[in-house]
Amino acid sequence: MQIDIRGLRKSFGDHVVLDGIDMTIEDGKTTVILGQTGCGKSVLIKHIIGLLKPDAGQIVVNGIDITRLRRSELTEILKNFGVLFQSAALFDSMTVGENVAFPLIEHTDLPHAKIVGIVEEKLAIVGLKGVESLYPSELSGGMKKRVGLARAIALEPKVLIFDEPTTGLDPVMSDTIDNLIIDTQKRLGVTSIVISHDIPGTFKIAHWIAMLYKGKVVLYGNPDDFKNTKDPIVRQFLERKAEGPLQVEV
Amino acid sequence: MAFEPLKIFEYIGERFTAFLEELGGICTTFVQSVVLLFMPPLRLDLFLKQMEFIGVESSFIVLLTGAFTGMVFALQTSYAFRLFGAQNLIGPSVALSLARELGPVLSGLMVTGRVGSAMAAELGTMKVTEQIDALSTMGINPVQYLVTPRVVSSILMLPMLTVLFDFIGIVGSYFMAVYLLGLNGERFVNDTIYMVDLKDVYIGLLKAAVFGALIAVVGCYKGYYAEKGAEGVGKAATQAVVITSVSILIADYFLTAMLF
Repeated sequence: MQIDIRGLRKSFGDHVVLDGIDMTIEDGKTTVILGQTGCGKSVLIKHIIGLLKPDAGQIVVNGIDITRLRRSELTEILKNFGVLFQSAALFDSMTVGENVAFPLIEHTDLPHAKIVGIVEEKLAIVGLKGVESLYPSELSGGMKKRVGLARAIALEPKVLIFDEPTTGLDPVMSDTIDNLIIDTQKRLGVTSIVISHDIPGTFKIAHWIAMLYKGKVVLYGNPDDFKNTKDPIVRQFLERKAEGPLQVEV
Repeated sequence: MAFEPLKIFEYIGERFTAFLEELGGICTTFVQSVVLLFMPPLRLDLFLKQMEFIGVESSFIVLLTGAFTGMVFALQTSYAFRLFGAQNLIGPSVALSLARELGPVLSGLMVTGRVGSAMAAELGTMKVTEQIDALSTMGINPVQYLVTPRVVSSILMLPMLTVLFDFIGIVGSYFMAVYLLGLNGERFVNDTIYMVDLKDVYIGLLKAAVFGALIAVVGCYKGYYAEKGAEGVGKAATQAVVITSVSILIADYFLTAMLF
């Protein structure tokens, strides 16, 4: 599923968050969106999954501008999307098994036994076994993310969106999640969009990278383009330096 | 700092606009939740779960409050009625007060404290931990999934709790009047049946249904739009209780003026 973002603008009051974003998310590839905290990455993602309406611009998914769809039409498109939220967003009143089964129960007529089998299979893909009866509060941060990923892939979506999948995790767990993103992308052939601050992880998983700054895309290219760029904003971000054109808003 | 009289009007205007916005939001939430009841899918298990939480699990606190309200009301009225030898009116006056006012209002206030705050806290937590966003991205309407079962169950359960409150309140006043104050039990029952019209009970139950809608809609609305993490969730729960309690008392006045 290819996603074309054209002239996307969004403001909250006087604060311009997205100032004309143009970008293509290529079908079957992993695109990582980089940028400072508060630069509009999450807002961009919320537009792609229909949680926010833009002030102007289009998001075209398979030739359909999803910003103009009615709720029921958008729902049909969203069935092709799986989202791993930053906090995993597991339903805390449900067990792990119920969380992973949730989209299957809501959107399919599969018998209970079949759903149980799919839940086991998806949890095994993310490296978790025998945790179906645990509640999210009993899991570690990394386990929650993996359960969130299992839930996101339960319906075998065509687009997977990861909102800061490695934030708050130790380096080993971060690498495990990166490997899971690569494996899932290869196994399901999905279009992946990853929001991240993690530079080594980005170079490991990305086919394409976009960097946002002040509501615009400052650089869009493959990992080599980013490694070789002379753009001072991108360089400062990649080299993790406090001094430079990027300033921390206080 | 210089006194700026125009600032006062600005402040009043801002507060009034915020009030209207909130009122509009609450009304919209109610209408949405009712409309979505008639759209598939019907998730019966969610309705039953909410009915259990709102109705069954509130019954003990409602029974306890009802019993003591009936008892204390019988005791208080006995002092007044004794002055002119009309103690036989204790039963009817307690029953009428319970059916028309105390049953629906006190049940509503008790359920507000227990259920309204819990709804705001639960939905607020779901909001700040992105669980509501997760529902949306799975193609599930969060209002239909979260709000509709709560509103409908609350509208159905509050009248039932009120029936419990009224019944146990009258039983409490009976024991107080007959065993403590020495009144004739048969006369207590006969006078009560004679004086209390079914209309009094029905209107009381109608009030309770309105209060049920208020409890759920305000609780869900405050939770659904909670912001700023744990502090926001706490604030939503507190505001839900305060707004609902005040709304119940105001709505009670208007319903009484219109219906009786």
